[in-house]
Amino acid sequence: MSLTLEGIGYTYAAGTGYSQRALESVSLCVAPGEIVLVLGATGSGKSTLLRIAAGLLDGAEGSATIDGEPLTRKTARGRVGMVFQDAESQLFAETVAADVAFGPRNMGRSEAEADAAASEALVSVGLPPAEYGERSPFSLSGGEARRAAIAGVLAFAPRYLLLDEPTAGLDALGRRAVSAIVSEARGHAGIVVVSHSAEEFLGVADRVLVLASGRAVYDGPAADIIAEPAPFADAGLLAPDVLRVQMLARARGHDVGRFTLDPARAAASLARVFGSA
Amino acid sequence: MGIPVPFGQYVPIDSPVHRLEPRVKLALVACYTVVLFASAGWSGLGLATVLVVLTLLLSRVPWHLALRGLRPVAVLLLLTVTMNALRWNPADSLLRLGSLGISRAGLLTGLYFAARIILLVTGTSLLTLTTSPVALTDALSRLMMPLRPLRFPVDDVAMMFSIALRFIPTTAEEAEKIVVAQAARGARFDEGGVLRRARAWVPVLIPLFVNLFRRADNLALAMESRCYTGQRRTRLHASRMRASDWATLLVGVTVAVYATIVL
Amino acid sequence: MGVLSYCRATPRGDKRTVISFFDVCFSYHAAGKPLLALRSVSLEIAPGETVAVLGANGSGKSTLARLTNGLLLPDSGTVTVDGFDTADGSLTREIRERVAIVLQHPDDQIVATTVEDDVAFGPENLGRPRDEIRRRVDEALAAVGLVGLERREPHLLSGGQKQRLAIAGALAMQPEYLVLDEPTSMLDPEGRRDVAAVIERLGRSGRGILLVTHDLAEAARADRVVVLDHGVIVFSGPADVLAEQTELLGECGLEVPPFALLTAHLRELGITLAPGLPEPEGLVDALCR
Repeated sequence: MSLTLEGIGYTYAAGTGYSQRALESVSLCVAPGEIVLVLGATGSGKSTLLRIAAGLLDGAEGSATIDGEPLTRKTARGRVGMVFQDAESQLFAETVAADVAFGPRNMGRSEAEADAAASEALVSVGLPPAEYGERSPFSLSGGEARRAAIAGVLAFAPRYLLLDEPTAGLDALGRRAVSAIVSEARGHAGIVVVSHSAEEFLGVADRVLVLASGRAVYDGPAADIIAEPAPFADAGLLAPDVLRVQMLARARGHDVGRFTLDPARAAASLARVFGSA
Repeated sequence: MGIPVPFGQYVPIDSPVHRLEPRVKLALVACYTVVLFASAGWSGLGLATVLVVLTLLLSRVPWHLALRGLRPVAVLLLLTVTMNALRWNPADSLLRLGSLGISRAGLLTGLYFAARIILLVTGTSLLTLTTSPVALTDALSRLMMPLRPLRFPVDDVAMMFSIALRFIPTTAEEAEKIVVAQAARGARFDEGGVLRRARAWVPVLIPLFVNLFRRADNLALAMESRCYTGQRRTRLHASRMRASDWATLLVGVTVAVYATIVL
Repeated sequence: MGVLSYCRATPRGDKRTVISFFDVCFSYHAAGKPLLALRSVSLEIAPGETVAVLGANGSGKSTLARLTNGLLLPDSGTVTVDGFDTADGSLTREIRERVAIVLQHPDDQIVATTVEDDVAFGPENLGRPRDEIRRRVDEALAAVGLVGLERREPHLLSGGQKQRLAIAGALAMQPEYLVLDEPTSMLDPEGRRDVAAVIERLGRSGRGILLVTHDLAEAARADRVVVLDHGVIVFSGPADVLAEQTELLGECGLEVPPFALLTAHLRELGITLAPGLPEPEGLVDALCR
């Protein structure tokens, strides 16, 4: 079982004077229980790839399947959940509970089932329905609203969860809460997180896909790109600061050992090299 | 997605017609309308045709774009010609179907009115083809200036026009984003009867309006902190009338007067 | 709150331009009940100083920013700019010519349909003559690196460019102070880098800057960091001292970036580093020395 895209190409406004090539033979595969992190600068094609994976963009080249079936709007429905950028700006219902129940209701669940699913989803994002369910979504803080919007997708229990910049614009508490939701969702879904920053999800990701100008410049295990972070620069991205320090030290001829994201272990190996000098 | 969206009819190229002061262009459209309607007869139409073709050539706007404006009035044109041409037992019939016939005089009248409509539509759309919406609203609000002593809020209205134009692309982008997001949550916009379809748009319109109000709030703050009071403003770009603008205006008015009196 | 230097309103006639908060309280009235956003805040920003106001969402930091030029008025206490009390409505223009604000959402503060017309908006409102507006626009666009995009429509700019445009619009007011309310939080790393570089350059050019942020790494570039927690100032001092106060940061809902942790660990391991929170390049330079 997996959501698999192979050799995907895409052109916006094909055949008009405004056409723009967004993706060139990119592949992406995610199975339940996995987290795949897609990194890239603005305009690298990562949001386009995510929309194709959600079955929302027609006309892509290459093959796309979901659990063995061809991926279409219809087969993606209910199986793929997509959390868009600034998801909180899409809340609309009178109450948080009603907004979260919108998805499952559209997917044909009964009122009772939809309400139960909404309650469960609200619990899982840390917004207890007893406290938040009857509030207006417009009265929530930025971080709470983002979590409510994520609950609106979790509520129809998608097997594949796609998130576009889920922590952008949030403060530390909000980011931590969203990271926790993503890690926990791994238990019942395959997850694709798209981001322009590696700081947040590199530590929890199983695999990483780095895009630059619509092409993959890295596609492999997260551990390998931590050990050998050159692809970040290839894509015009900055590696996480802790990695950058180790890269800079190595570039100057110091053996700092195996690279790590952990600040304490990085400090220990740096101290070993520079402490004696 | 960062792709420039063609906005309105405006063809953004450079030409003498594009460079003409927008207020002069508005005045010329008025003159042109006078030529078209004050002159009775084919000579007026001939003059108008010459004017349109000449301007079109000068403006370098492609023919197919200039004629695109005729598509919505195609039915009207057809009706104008046939209704005028068809008569009962016409004396000067060109073609007869029983007692119904095509009258020569009627056909000419029909063609005359159709030509007028074609010239009116093409001539006036030359204004929007060669003037950006921004320049056009600016010109309109500057032409409203004489209303200021009558306590008509000219500056506020001009600012409203400008802000509306500024936020149309932003709002369109946002609407598209919300539509896709709600579709991903299973909303269906193309199923069911009229009522159901209308209701499907509620989850799009509510956040769109909420976001617009939020934007309006922030925009008001930003404008306030940049000292906007709506009064005593100066302008960076108050485009001025050049000699060529005055000359063109003079020619336009002369032609209009000539057409009214002579033709 | 011993770290603070209290300052009463500077008397009029004093040439020094200072933003001064004295014992300021402010509350919002949402759904009938007042919500205290700032409690007894006193703070002074000196000319040419870059001060970062750091706080989690809901700490009152945006409120503080909006009080600096009279967009909001205190419930009690006073806010003065150059000795001008923001509560005095007749001084509003004087104050806003001295203190310009840039808001968080770049899209919501651009008024005009072209880049240069938007920068011109402020000076137009001030009724300046055309050649002066032209000069101010050109200078402001040069200061933020947007020269060449004068006729561009704002919706075709990237997020970082939009925010730099907003800063240019504020600069065209030729203010003594620039107040920036989370100017980078909606941007991608590239836009964030560009905007941060512009802010740093402006700070060095002698303009006073109040930078509101929830990002410690961003705040670290300021001369001084003020931490707000639930409307109260709980810290005021240099960023590296703050970076070591992990407990305080945690209580305020703030995060110590992994890089700051790394630096702190290195100090614990006996590596001597100059005070301050360096960039990765700076840290490696220091280590290699």
